Amino acid sequence: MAVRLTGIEVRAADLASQELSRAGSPANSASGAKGQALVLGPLDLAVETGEHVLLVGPSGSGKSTLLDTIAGLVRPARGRVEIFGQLASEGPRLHLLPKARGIGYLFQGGALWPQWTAQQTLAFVLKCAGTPRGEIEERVRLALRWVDLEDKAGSRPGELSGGQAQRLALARAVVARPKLLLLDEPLGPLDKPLRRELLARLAQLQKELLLTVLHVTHDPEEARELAGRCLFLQDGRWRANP
Amino acid sequence: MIRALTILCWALFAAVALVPLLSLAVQVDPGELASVLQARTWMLLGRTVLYGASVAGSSLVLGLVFGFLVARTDLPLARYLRPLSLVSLLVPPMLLAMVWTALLDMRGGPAAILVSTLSLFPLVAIFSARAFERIDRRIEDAAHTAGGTWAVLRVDLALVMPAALAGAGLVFVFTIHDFSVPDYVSWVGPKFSVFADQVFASWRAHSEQGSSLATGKAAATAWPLIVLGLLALGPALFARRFSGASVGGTFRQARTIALGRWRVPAFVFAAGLVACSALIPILRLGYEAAGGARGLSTDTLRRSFAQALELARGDLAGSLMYAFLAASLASVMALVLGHSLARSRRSAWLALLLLLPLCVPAILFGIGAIASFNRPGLEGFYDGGAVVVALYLGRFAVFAILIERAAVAQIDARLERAAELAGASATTRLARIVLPLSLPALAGGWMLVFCFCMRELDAAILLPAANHTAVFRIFNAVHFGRDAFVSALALMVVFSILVPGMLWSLLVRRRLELVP
Repeated sequence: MAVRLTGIEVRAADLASQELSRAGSPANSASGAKGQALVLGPLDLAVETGEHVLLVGPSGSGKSTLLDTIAGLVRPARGRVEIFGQLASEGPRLHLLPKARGIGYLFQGGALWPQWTAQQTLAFVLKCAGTPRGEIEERVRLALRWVDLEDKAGSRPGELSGGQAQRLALARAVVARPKLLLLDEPLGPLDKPLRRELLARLAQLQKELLLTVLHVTHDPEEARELAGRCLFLQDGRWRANP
Repeated sequence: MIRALTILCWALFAAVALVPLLSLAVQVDPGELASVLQARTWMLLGRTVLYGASVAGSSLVLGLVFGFLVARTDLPLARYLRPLSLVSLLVPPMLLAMVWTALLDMRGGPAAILVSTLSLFPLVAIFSARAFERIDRRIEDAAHTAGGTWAVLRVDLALVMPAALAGAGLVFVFTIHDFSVPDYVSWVGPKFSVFADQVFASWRAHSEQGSSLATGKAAATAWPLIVLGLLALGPALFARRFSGASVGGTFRQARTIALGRWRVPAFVFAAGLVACSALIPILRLGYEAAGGARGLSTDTLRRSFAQALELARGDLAGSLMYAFLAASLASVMALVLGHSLARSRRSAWLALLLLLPLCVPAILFGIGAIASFNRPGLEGFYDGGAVVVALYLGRFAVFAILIERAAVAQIDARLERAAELAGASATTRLARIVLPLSLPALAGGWMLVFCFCMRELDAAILLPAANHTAVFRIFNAVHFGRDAFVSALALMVVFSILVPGMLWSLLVRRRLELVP
């Protein structure tokens, strides 16, 4: 089992203390009754190794919060998170730090580090993952080849097109060879031909790296052909297929 | 590691900024507080409030218009006028007082208001300019379609006013706490006494009866100023949160406004303001250093500088060293504490704690530093330069921290999260993600602290160790009317203050971030 969530509950106050708003400014702290309101759960989830699960739901339904909870970036008020059989968190207590969970995360909008070139970005991730210095260059080259960005190795995110930036974000998410890949609206800013191209790249990588994928989107048609299962989230809870 | 560093920075802040305030608080006799408000102190307080309000009001008008012109219009040379307007904020206000009292033969209250306005209006200007730039184009477009240019101006003004008022609030606090300008304009002619004088006078009158009594008396005397400072700063900084606007988390830069037939008058206004606040004072100092009314010559100019360098080399070196150390330490504190505050739920309360040193008149802060550090066991620290660095750090580190906090708040937290997931430690994230992205803010904070330290006089005047600084040397020398020497030394101080900013502009393309 790649991911097992049991009785997960996240309250507004949990987000206020740990999360920052999507625009980059600190979220207002939620307190009192508002802070106690559930934004996610209670919910359970089981994902088999190698599966590609599509998580679909409208804006504000808790999809990104769910990914953040699995990644350990949000600490739930209640519930257990197990990743590849290991207890990752129980309630607000972290048993496995985010970096130790073997997760690659493609954030909504990319969240690429603007100060670094594509090459430096990937090298930084590999260095953090403890990759021997001698291997870094080769692995960066390989990752850039995966996403067809070899000629953009020296470019910063601001110098890349939307599709290239998204491919770099994908390369960053997989360069350290994670076992679990979290995708938060990976195709959001792209037009149709680019979407198709990135999906093809994704399918190829999933096969090559034997990845388990949790793929968040608001468009159920986005990756239907890749996904084995499609789950619907609304107001923080699972809903039957509409 | 990062937690230890954060605790260390908070401990340093507490030691240099909060301990002096605590020393003041514990030595106040509560019975003294009510007795402060006698007829004379009411009169002084009224005059001080009027003085502060006049400077804040005129700075608000000048700064708001100037900020709009340089940030949003096609004003000629706007990119040069904008940084030049900062010069008057960065140089010691006493130098502006020296120049304008001599040029206009003006003394007393009007001179103090003129000099303080010229010195402090850039605070409103930089807050306003930044707020004007943060207005989304679509907001203006919507106003334009609804009601044309006037609708745009009304919408813009509502969005910019909180920031401009925050700047004016700071101007008010700086003015009522200032001791050097009212003191300078009173050397000849009628005395222009303000409340900060009273604090100093109270401390001096009781200093022979014991240090703790004098400290308590000064602190008790100063409470109306502290209350005024809190009343002005609190709402001002709260209101600033409502300035600027984006749409749905994205931002589109607003269009440049064509001034049309107003272009020339607007340029005359903006250039005239920069000339009065920065260029004329510097030229006048140059004129004095070259001999002034006694006859200009390059020989005199060279002699003045040679004499200034010979007599005040140590003071200038001391100023530069203390300011450099304080600014560098403040930058480290800013990176750690600014980041911690920006990502913390208790940010607002902790930011209030940071503001406390700003609410206290500089002269009282100096008295607090004496009460804290002039004690057995600390002689080495108190008599050496370290106490000067501590004093500067306590007074000014808050600027660097708040600027960095604002910059970190603008950095998308997912950039740090992505690094965290990649395995980067908290220290690595701070050094490799936050630091490069907030570099203009860190450099801006460094520069501001450096300049404020270089121009500091009010608090430093009390500490014997801080008497070996260039501004203190100028303060002493002007008593003896050594115009050429004083002017040459003043120009050296101005030059030293402006060098880091000039180097940044020459070597780095990114604009410095100076707004908290």
